[in-house]
Amino acid sequence: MSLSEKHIKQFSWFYLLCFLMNYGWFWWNGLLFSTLNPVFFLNGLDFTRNILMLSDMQHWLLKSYWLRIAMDVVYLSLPILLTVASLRNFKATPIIALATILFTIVYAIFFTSISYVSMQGFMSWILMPLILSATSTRKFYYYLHIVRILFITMFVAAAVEKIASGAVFNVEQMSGIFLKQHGVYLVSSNGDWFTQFIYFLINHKTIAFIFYITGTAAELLFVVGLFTRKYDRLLIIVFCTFLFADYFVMQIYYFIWLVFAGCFYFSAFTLDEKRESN
Amino acid sequence: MFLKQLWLYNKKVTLAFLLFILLWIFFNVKQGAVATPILQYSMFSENYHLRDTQNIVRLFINNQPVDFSKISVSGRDQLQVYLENYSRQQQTNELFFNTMQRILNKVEVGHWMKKECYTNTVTDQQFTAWYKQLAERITGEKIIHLSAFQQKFVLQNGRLTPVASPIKLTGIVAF
Repeated sequence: MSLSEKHIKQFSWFYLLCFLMNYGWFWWNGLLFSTLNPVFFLNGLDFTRNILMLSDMQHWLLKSYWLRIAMDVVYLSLPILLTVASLRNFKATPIIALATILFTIVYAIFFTSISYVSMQGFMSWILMPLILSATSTRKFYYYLHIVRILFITMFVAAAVEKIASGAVFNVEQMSGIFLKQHGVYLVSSNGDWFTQFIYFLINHKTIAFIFYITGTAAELLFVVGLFTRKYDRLLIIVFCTFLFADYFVMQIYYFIWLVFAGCFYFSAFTLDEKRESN
Repeated sequence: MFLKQLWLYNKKVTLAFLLFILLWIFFNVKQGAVATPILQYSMFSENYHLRDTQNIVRLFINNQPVDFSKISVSGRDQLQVYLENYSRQQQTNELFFNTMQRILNKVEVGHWMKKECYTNTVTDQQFTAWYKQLAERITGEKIIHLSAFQQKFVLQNGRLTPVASPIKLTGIVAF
């Protein structure tokens, strides 16, 4: 089936829905500048962050409540504006998309410096506007596949690092991760079912290790996507399982990446070169 | 092949895409510093062992230990990580400032970096007041007394067992 304007609209709605769901989750958990009202920041070994910090915006953000509100409002407004622009096919759509990308980078850099949220999660909101900057189905097709490949590279890189570090050959790996990840929970809880479940996995390191190998295999499986799009629907299932498992077993919120599933759904549609050239 | 298709469609976009991938590989192979949006994706690739000593935060509200199993996933992370981050912020920020300034000096940017921009001015009292408010919001309890400790644990007989006395985190002060 060939790609059409209808698919761009569907993708735009999917992007907005995912963004609003995430924004809602962050707001609910007090994870916005204006709800967290931070009093300190952390620097990192990041060239972009250190260059942006030349502006001293980090101190302004700590001092000014209105600046924090403005950051949250703009962060919410740009994806909405971008979706409207994409749905209505505004001429300014590429400019709005570029503004969304640049602002999200700034927002994410400063937000991750004052919260526990990692920068990697924000990659979804940095890359997705590129796809929505498309003003034709042809552009949409190419940008969608660029983001799809970048996501595959990110995901596969995590598996490659696990192989390179030798972690996939360490049978104690997952039990050790559980100790690190859930230490506070295990020490403070009264022995609820989750505590018992995690202790069971810690004390049965081979079973725990199967979780780690399965996770690594899921990441590595995405390499298939570099050679064919035939299995993209299967990759969506693998990806969603990965996100749910991460949330329920590791208690890590990775649903911020759910929007990438859209790249694997819409990749099934081909580019009609004849129609495009007419 | 997609790359060939992309090249025929737009050479500039193809070159930008390839440059992004190459920079990504460079930063990932080199390890250490990143340049957002070019990041590293390790996701638990360091080696972990059962014998590892765990430095665990213990929080007491109104002289009662906080049961983290009764707190939301995000609330748990916030209560724990902000305490840890605050304890190390001064040292970490100074270390990263010195490292980044040294590197950025090579491209004539380092001299623009003023140390005060990269340093926090927050006091322990201010941090405590902020953290108290955060803990009240997350736990839903009115806090009269708050204290935090860090304690070393190891796995013994299938359970995490303390192997050292708790050390009081000095970031939390009396209020």
